[in-house]
Amino acid sequence: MLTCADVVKLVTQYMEAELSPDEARSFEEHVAICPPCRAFLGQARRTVELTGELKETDLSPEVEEHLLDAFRDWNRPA
Amino acid sequence: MIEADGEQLLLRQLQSGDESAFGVLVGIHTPSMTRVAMAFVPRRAIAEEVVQETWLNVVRSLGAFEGRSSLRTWIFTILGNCAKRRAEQEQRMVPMAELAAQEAGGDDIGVSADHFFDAGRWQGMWSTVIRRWDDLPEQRLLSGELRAAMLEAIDALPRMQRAVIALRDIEDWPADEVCEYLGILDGNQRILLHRARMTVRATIERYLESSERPC
Amino acid sequence: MTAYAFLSEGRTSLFTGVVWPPPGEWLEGPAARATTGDHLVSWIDDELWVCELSEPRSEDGNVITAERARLVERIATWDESAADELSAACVARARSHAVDALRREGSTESDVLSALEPDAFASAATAIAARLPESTAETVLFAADVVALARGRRPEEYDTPPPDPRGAPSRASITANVAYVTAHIAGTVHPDGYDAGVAAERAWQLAWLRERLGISAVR
Repeated sequence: MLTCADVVKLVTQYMEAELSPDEARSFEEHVAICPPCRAFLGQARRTVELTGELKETDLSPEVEEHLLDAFRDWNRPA
Repeated sequence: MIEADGEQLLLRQLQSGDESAFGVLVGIHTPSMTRVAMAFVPRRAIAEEVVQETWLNVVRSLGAFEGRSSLRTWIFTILGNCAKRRAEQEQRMVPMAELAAQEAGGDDIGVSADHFFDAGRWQGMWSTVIRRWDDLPEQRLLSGELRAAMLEAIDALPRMQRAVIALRDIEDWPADEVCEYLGILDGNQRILLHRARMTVRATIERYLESSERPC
Repeated sequence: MTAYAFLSEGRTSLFTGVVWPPPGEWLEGPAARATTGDHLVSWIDDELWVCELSEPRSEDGNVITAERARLVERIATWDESAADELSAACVARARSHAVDALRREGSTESDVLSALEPDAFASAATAIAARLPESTAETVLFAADVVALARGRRPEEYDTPPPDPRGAPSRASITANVAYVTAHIAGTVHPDGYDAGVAAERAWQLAWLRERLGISAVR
């Protein structure tokens, strides 16, 4: 049986489907009987989802204006 | 990632001079581009200049872009070229593979050892409570405060971890493309991604523990 | 063959986070997996469903996989109170394994321990274990840990206040844990060795589940 520290160490490989079938089964058999590891796996999954939602962000107005100026220049008919 | 159909539309808008489309593109990619550029060059200010230079190059070449690769791949290729040129000028050209290997060294599993029993019949098992997040009201996990804390944690990561999590989890690139783009080994990519994710996980955990929960 | 799927609350797959569609609708992908009536105790979770898997399916130990699977009906007799009952039964068995181990050693502490209620047993365990030889001391402490775990605490937390309910584990996931640790204790004290002890305890748990849930027919 894996330890909880093993589960922590392997969680990314598990989620990326990079463990061998035997390793994946050992991982799952531990998680199934370990409440904190169940919570931890859910946290790891949620972390990835939340990080994926970080995309949109505000630029500084000066930078945005500068880039938009450049875009307008490019777009201007010669 | 912008879906393929959406990307065709976006490209047509850009090539016809649609300013708001360009604004959206810049807004979506600039933060991750800055994090990626910081893997190549020593300081944030330089990375920001590199990203600006990249966008100017993108604007200049848009008319010639034929869509053989995805728009995103094309933009990040230009970014990589600008960043490498800049790194050479700054004489800071440590190979990425080497930086990645250094950051992936050691036996840090991503959660500090004081969360586990260190001896006895429970050795290696959680000694602390790990809470489920699935019963939290969604707005707690979508708050601006939490986003800011997560971004701060990502920006404070070692440079290769930061670049890897930006490309994998923010930009949603597959692992093999990230390895090829950064020129790092897959095994190291995985360790860097794991450690970066675990740091962000701990940041979310701290945020949830410290902020008040509704009763 | 009847296949079963233990799922987390809301028809959710524990390992992928995927929510199964309502009964009758097919689910495809890696979450499409189930178990046989022989291996239920390995996967105890909040909800138990009878399910159907497409052909061909492959059975590997305690997991059956297929390209597609669908839920047929929920086994309503598996609920929080059934989970709590199994948990309590395991707590009692863990203690009796410890008491039996002490009796085999001729220890006079066995009578004291067997008379105590679970919480009193857990509170007294540390002091009693200090007077025992190492191997039996460990068994007694493990049995006390089972009490702590069944109360939603971490091991070795015998006299701590009730745990914070925020983000607490589900009752069934606690039962899964308590049943596993109890089987581990049975393994450490079994005269025929660890594997025989674990297998015997898991068989007892499975028989309990089948009877309680009325799913005696296997295969």
